[in-house]
Amino acid sequence: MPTLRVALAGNPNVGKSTLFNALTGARQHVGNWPGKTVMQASGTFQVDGLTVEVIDLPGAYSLSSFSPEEAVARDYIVCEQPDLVVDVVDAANLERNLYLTTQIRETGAPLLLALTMTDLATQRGLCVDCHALSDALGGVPVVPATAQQNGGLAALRTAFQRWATGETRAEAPPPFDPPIEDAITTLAAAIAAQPDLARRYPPRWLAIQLLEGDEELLGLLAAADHAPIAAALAASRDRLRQTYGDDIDLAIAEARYRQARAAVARAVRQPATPVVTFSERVDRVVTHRILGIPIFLALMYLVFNLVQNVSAPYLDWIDGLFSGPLTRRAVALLALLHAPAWITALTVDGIIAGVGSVLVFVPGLLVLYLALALLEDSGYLARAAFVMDRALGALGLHGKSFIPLILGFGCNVPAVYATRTIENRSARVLTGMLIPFMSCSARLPVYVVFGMALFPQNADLVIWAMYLVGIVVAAAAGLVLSRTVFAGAGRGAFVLELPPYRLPSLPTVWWQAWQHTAGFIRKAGTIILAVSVALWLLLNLPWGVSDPRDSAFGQASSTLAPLFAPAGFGTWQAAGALVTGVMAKEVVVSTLAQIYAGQADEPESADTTTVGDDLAGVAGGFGLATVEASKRLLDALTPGVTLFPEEGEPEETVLSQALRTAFTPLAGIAFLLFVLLYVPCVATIGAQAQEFGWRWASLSLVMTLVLPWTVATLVYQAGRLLGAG
Amino acid sequence: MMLRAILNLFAVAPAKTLSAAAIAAELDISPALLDHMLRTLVRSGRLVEVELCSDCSACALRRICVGGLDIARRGYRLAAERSASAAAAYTQ
Repeated sequence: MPTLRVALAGNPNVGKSTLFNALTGARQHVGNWPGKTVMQASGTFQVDGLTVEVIDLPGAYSLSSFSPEEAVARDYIVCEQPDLVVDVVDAANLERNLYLTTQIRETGAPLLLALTMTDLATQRGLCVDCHALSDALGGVPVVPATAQQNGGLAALRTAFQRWATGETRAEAPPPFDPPIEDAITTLAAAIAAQPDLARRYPPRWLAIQLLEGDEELLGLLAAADHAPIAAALAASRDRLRQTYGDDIDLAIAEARYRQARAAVARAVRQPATPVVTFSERVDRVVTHRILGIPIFLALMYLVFNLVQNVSAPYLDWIDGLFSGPLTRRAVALLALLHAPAWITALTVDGIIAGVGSVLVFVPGLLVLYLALALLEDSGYLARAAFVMDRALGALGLHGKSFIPLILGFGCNVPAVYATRTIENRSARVLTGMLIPFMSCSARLPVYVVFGMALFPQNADLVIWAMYLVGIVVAAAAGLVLSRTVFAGAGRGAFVLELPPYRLPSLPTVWWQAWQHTAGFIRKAGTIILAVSVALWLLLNLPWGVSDPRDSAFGQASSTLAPLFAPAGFGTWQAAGALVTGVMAKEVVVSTLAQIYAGQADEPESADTTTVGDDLAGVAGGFGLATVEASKRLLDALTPGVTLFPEEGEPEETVLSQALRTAFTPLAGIAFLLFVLLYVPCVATIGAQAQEFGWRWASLSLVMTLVLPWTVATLVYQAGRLLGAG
Repeated sequence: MMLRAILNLFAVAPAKTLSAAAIAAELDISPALLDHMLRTLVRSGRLVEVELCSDCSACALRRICVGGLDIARRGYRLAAERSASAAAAYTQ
């Protein structure tokens, strides 16, 4: 029984493996990722007495030795010489796919085109004329072969039969430009004169590869008896250089694209009015030159609105959990163990007050990360980055700066390391200097606690404004630095491939958000716990001090406090919180909580409620918080409509009450601006020193001390002059 | 001469990021074809493919990163050794 050996070639994701499975019935995974079928797979089927052996080659965009997949495909077609190569071609992206077709034709291998995705092409308004395409390709048979359609498979099987009986044969591929064609002819003749090479490789094809500079094949010429070919190649390249400079390979590639374009022009009827895809329609709006930024800002406002409103009930619940049942049970347990009073005070006023004040923001951060993950997974965030980059680019920033800057919204430390993608050192350092102004997630708890205490009706607006101010200050600092310290820093564009829009995958979104939130919880259990313990000790030294202001921490903070008086927050508590906040920004909140917890009333007695009461209260509180959060979520997602009017005043925490006493709204804004702009944390400074050296890290340190003081003071003093103080 | 036109954009554009879709529209080619051409330019050594923040599980910073945002799949820039000469050649 005659056997026809058929190789299936084609670009990745054109339905090649699906076609292979449909033809042979072999079990093979059909993936969506480029280069999935790295290994060859084979199978057989019968057609009217003809045995067809099918070899599924790896997906390849071209026949080169650039990637292992392309090398496998190329070597099989050229060296194994199958009876027929079936080039599986995506009808919806014909021009792109025909590049590989032109290369397969150059090998001289018998070729047949199998058109897949014809249904998708039709949806896009494209009409592919198979006969015209075949004519344009010198008689290469073209068969519509969408695997899901049985008719397509039958046509392909018939084509195999016709091929086996020799009914169809194609012409040689069209010539390249005359200078290139002359060089190919000369070189092919030299190769044909070397029998060992000519047996292994088609001379004309090998000549083209050598002119293109294929490094693997150029290695063949190292053998002494191939010196005539090397000499002919050198002479040919010298001649071609007069016409094409160093772009001989590009001229050959351009010729292939021209062939592909000409074939498409002959064979594809385009729709009278171009079909605009959903992605293109959305992009026209969200990446619009004028509308893009307002849309981005509106979406970010919605995100912070969700963060503040949806997480607030859970924030109250966790705060109640720490200040109520957890404190009561800890006190009871320590009393049972006859622990000394200072251990109880350390546990309640140090650890629980410090760590608890930060952990209450876990729901807020979870909501923030969920919202960002949704935007990211949908494909929007890449557009947002692109839109913002265009705005920053207008201010003189480097094109690739946006990636580290956007990363800075999460955490400044990895953002500093991400500047490694910028090859120009000046541009890299400039970007690294601006990252501290991007408001990292550690600053969010400070905004939330101040926003809810001082601006209960507009907390979301305050939070959103802080992020906005960070962007504006980074842009302004970039503008100044790029025209002074970094004048003449890197040029050069960067092309970004935006991912397509898609429905977010909820498990992926949840996993991503949880990963980030878990990182925050780990930080609370390590850095913030350590700082809370150390701070409690400093607040209680010399031992037995009754007023925290007289403690070592209080006295040290008091010496710094006058520095902040012009900015409106010249209290020792605020100064102390800012100093400890250099360890990590969340520590600002935990420090304030510890200081004010120490000044507040003693905790409730552990004997007033039972464990059962506490558990019931915790579960009930969670349920009520969930109901309240659901109402607020619905309200936040229906702007302008209040579905659930607020009932009564929100719960007050000890910290909120204390902050309202210690800060005027104007002083609160000045404090938040200072927190936004001052030294992000020691880890960021360390990362800057590691990446750019101590000189630049020191400059950043000075900048993030002077600038926030100046901004906070200007805002506070201007506010007072305008009567807002 | 599409390939040269693309290289020209890389070499002469002021510091800014270009979206592949915008370039495709400017050159009147499909985004899919532009993607193929960018790959061809990578193969020829003219461009370098830049892997962006796309795989948190493989990232060395994952232990400390609490806010890494996967914002873009892939980018391209001029190969470093060709940047200067290309900028000079293509701007003439």
